[in-house]
Amino acid sequence: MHRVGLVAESLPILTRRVALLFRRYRIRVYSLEVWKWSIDAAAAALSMVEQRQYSVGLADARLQRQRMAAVPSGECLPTRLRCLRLLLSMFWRWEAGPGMPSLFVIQGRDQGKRFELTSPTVSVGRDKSNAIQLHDTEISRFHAELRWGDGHYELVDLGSSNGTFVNSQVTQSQMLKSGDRVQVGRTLMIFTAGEEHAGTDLLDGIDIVGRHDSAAGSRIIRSIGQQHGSQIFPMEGRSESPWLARARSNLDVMYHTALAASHTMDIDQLLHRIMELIFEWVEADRGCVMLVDQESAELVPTVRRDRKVSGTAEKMEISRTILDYVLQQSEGVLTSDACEDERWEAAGSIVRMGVREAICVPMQGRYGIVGIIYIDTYTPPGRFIQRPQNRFSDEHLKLMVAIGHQAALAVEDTRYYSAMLQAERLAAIGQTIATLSHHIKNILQGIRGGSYLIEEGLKAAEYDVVAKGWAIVDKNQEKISNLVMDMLSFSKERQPEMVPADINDVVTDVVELMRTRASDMNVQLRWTPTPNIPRLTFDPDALHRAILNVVTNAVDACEKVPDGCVCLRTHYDPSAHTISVLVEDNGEGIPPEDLLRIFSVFESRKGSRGTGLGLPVSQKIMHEHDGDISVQSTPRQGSCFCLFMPAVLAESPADSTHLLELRTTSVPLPPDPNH
Amino acid sequence: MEVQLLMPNRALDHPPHSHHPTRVLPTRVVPTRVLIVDQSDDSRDVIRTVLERRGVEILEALSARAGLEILREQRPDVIVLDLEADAADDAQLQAQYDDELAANKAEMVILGNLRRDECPSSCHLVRKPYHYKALIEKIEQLASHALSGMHGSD
Repeated sequence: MHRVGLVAESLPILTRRVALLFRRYRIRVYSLEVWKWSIDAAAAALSMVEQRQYSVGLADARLQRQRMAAVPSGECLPTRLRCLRLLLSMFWRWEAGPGMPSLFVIQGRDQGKRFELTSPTVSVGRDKSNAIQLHDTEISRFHAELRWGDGHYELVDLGSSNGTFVNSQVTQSQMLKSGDRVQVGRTLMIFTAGEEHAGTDLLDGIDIVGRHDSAAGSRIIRSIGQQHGSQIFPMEGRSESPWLARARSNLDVMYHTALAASHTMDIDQLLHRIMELIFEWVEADRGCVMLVDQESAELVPTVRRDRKVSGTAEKMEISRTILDYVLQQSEGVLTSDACEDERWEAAGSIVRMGVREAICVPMQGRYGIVGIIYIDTYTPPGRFIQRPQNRFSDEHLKLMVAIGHQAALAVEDTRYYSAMLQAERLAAIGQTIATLSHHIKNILQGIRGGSYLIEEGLKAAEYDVVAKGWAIVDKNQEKISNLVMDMLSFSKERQPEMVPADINDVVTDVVELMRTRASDMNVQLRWTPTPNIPRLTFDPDALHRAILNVVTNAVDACEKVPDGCVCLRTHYDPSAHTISVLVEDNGEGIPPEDLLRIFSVFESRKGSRGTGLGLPVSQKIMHEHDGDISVQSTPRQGSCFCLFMPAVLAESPADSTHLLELRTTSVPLPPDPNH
Repeated sequence: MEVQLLMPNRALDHPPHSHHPTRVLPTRVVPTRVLIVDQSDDSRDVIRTVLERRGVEILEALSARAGLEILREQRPDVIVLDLEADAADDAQLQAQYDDELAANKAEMVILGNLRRDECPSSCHLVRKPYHYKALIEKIEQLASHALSGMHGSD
């Protein structure tokens, strides 16, 4: 799921094109936000470009144009076409999936949950019979309903006690569109409408030409790096009007705010940096940022800064009246002289504190106010010092509002990202537990069955039944032992225990261990050790497990094949400093579409017999040895797994150079001496 | 028609090789047939070993689809279907199973973790993890019921 921001002059055209792009590549977008071109919007978009780790992309050709227009001629910046290609490549790598109308909880006890709207009527409420059950005491048992009709969902309040809100406005019934904020109780959700309607394909109009295509030939005249981005409006020593100088300065502040917002995922760090920027730009004496606590909804001081560094900074008192006004009205305020401002007559706190000038702005995000930024010039009571008038101006206020917005977006992004991360982590843990429980349950069922046979056999004094029961118990205790070992191998970050060992001995052990099982399944095991392999340094226990998992799979793959055969070979290449263990079978093979997934955790092709841990563990062990596993497979003909790693001679230290080379080059399978 | 029934519980006392059938009815021998649809080798192995000793003929399938074919061709008296078997959750197949069960007057045991209200009323649910003793007893009881129904109709 992605959030996408668009800044453009011709919004309808570009929005449509980008929406088509998403649909074509099945990119799920939970919100597509569009801004008409402006300095603020550009700064916000710039910060998004930096935030790829947020899954935020830039679909903004016009922004690049504007930047191009702003730099002196001769600077070459990406063209519109290149920009769109960049966008494509960014999304290309990301997870894609079909669009489905959904509500994503961004605030409240169910934060991180995503509810797909799959039926024409979707009920929302506290009661568990609702399709969307929310754990929020301020929500009615049957609070609201989403009703499908005329190609969209309509949100209808069902006479709830605390009301239903869309984009902060109370509503009885409202048609929802993508990006709408739905609030019920203390739960805030974002609505996504799902896939857009079909249309013409954007890619039909774009062609990426080859390097040597002279017809479309172009050359790069100049390029600039990210670090030079702050010089988009260089002064170059020219004299200019004070207005223009201020405008440049303001843009510079906005740019740096955007950069700060994009370079950190730590909210405290970000807010400190923003306060630092504010102090560089305006002559404030004191400043602070207060964030609205997500649970209590109270303002909590997060950052404080004083221009004068003194060991005993006085406690900073901020007028509740000003804070309330800013929060309730969602407006920034400038008090050029707080004592005389008519709006504060009723509030004695300002007079008592002697504040002369203050700016307080809301940190207005997409989904609400996340906090406030407050700066002031300070004259302690009883010590009146004449200061120059109007240190804070309307311009300062406007820019502070913009900075507040930027900071709020970053805070929201960070919180959203954390919530997503937490939700994903919980989902992953849940999936892991569910998968492992399933395997363990099956193994226990097997042990139970074996025990029952033993019991029955003993009762009837039929020892063939006892033996059969025992074989089942034995097989299953082996399964659980392997599962536990795989779980341990996979779960911990471990350094291999490198000792001198003989690779042929390790493979021989595996073959001996597998012989009975292979024989039971009528699969032949052929082992051809390559003679004269020197003793190498590796972790023999880990390698044993890595090879065992691969051989187990190979034997299982041959189960249904007549004349099933698994051939094991070692191959030592002294010139390339590599050692390989090859496991080849004539089993059922792996379809090409599955080859990419076989090393993924819990992806098993063996049904209830597979845990989906074997190959990932083997691969992890090979990675720990700076090696890897390569696979060649043909369905219905068989597979060949090659476990390869650098051959570190027992008597010589590891050569780090060829370790690096090995990581970046694929090792071809050596010729089979038997074929 | 003359029929010999091998009642499963009695058969336990006198295995088939003992030449002492428990209840002798003239001429034809109709052993109970049980179809096991389960992808677990162990489960099939255990059920087969125990029931075969009691004179029950065991048919096996790894997937629900293969099981349906056997059901149509061999007409077992009892079907044991593990819901983890391949295609066992296919609604279309389930409907076909229901039709066959009704036509054959066969009984079906479902192994899985369905809620009671999700399990068809004609089927008998055994939740996992189950004890084999209880499962075997259930199968025997149903086989006995199926056979007495058949005997009655004859």
